[in-house]
Amino acid sequence: MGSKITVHFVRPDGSVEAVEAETGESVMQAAVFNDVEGIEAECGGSCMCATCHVYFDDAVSSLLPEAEEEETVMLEDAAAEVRPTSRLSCQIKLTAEMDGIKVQIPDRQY
Amino acid sequence: MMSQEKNDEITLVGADQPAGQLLRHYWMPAALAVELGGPRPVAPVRLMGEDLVLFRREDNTLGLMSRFCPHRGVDLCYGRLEGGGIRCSFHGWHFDQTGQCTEQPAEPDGSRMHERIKISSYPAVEKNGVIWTYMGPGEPPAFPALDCFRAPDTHVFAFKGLWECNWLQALEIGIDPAHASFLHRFLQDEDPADGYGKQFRDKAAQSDMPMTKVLREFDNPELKVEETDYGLRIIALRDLGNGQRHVRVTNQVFPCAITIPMSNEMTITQWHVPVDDTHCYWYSMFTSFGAPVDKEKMREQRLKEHRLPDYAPLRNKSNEYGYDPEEQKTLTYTGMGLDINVHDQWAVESMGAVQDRTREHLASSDAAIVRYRRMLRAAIKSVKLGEGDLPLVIDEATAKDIQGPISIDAIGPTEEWESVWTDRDAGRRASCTWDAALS
Ligand code: FES
Ligand SMILES: [Fe+2]
Repeated sequence: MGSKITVHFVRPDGSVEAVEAETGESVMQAAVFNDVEGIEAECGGSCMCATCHVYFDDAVSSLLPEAEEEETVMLEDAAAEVRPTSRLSCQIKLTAEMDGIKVQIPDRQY
Repeated sequence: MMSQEKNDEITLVGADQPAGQLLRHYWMPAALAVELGGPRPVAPVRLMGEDLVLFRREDNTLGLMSRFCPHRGVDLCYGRLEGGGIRCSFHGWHFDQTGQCTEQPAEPDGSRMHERIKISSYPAVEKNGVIWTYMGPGEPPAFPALDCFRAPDTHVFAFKGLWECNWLQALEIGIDPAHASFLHRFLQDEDPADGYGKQFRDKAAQSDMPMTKVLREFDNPELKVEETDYGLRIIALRDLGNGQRHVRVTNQVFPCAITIPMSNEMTITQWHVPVDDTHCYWYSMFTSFGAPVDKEKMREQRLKEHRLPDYAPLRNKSNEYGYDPEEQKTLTYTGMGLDINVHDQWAVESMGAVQDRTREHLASSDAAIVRYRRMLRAAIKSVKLGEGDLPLVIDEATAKDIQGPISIDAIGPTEEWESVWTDRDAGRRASCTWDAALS
């Protein structure tokens, strides 16, 4: 069992939804398990669909492990604008250092 | 990770459901023309959960309306075909092809009650052996200029079959090119000369290798999926190991059809049409770019595997699809006989009436399925928001430009895979007796 941390999902309209998540889960799971709208994860987390696309803050981005090639390739298919801080949230595991992070949800996943 | 709600959104077909509303923006196959071929041209139709009666009028036009008499609910399929409509056999109420009640002979003289009685009706048109209807709002879209509609009646054969499952899983097997190397694997090859009218039994493209051998020996195709104006183009590449590559081009035609190669001469355009949430028909239009289709032979081949009048397969869940463990060891991958339709039917029915997608794990071989679901969800959202820009909901002018789609097997040098299939298709179209040219 991991430890509990808080993740702040920022909706496209700027409003924030704070959820309690567990380290070891992916950011995608933190969203889906808490019914956060706007993160779809059609493929269930296999890095196959790019419907779990999110943006991180610059500061958080530097904490994250680099994207594997699969993720980079799949990310090109994301429906919303792809930015330097774009990631597929199914590929990002939550760690204790990530307590309190902000995760920006893009305006669309399809 | 799909929630139940998200699965419902893309599968359920009622008029009040998201997928049901989207699908109602398209022409759907309602029956085969031969179903009206008997002495009394009336057939029951169940489409997207609605029970309807289809009939041919004295002037040869078609009518399609609600199946049950609004008086006491009896079945109009047993009504009397007269006056351009149907007269209910119970009390003689008459309905014209628009569903309007025109007579109620058991009511007092001068009664105008019938003016207030109307049942729902839908347009019905026939095209190359299939009768189509439009059950949605407003004007129907134009038919795209697909090969199966452009080819003359002599070069198109239509058939259908009933599957006991939701339409989406039926469609999704058709956009999953990897499964053909497993589910449809034959451990021994037949003589391609005996393969007329059957899927995968021809030689592979311009080679001497049976297609069954290519599928069996090269089971890890690389997939390329591309969005197009009609849906998706799905290319499966198989390296044959001798500097040659097998290129198989298949398509998803929005919202619920596929176009795939059958033999070197024929393609199949197949709609997966919801009967209701837990049943669907496949409607196939086999289109020949070579000789006229031997319809008698193709119908006979398929009638051997189906029962009338509902076109239910003879092999089904109740007899374990004819599963034979001995055959599975020596002849087929499934042990369920030589008809590849049965393999597909088993695969999709065994998932359950509506596949529980909350438990699935999509993988790289599902690239086209993933892509398709994105298009489907985007279209559903567009209907919900009333945006209206749906793929293939088009006017006559645009419809002329939606052609093909190219569906073909080709073999060529590994690095030339991008041109071998377009070249081979162009050759086939150039020598075709009907106008198959792509503009
Ligand atoms: S959940 Fe599909 S790519 Fe992340
Ligand atoms: Fe199949």
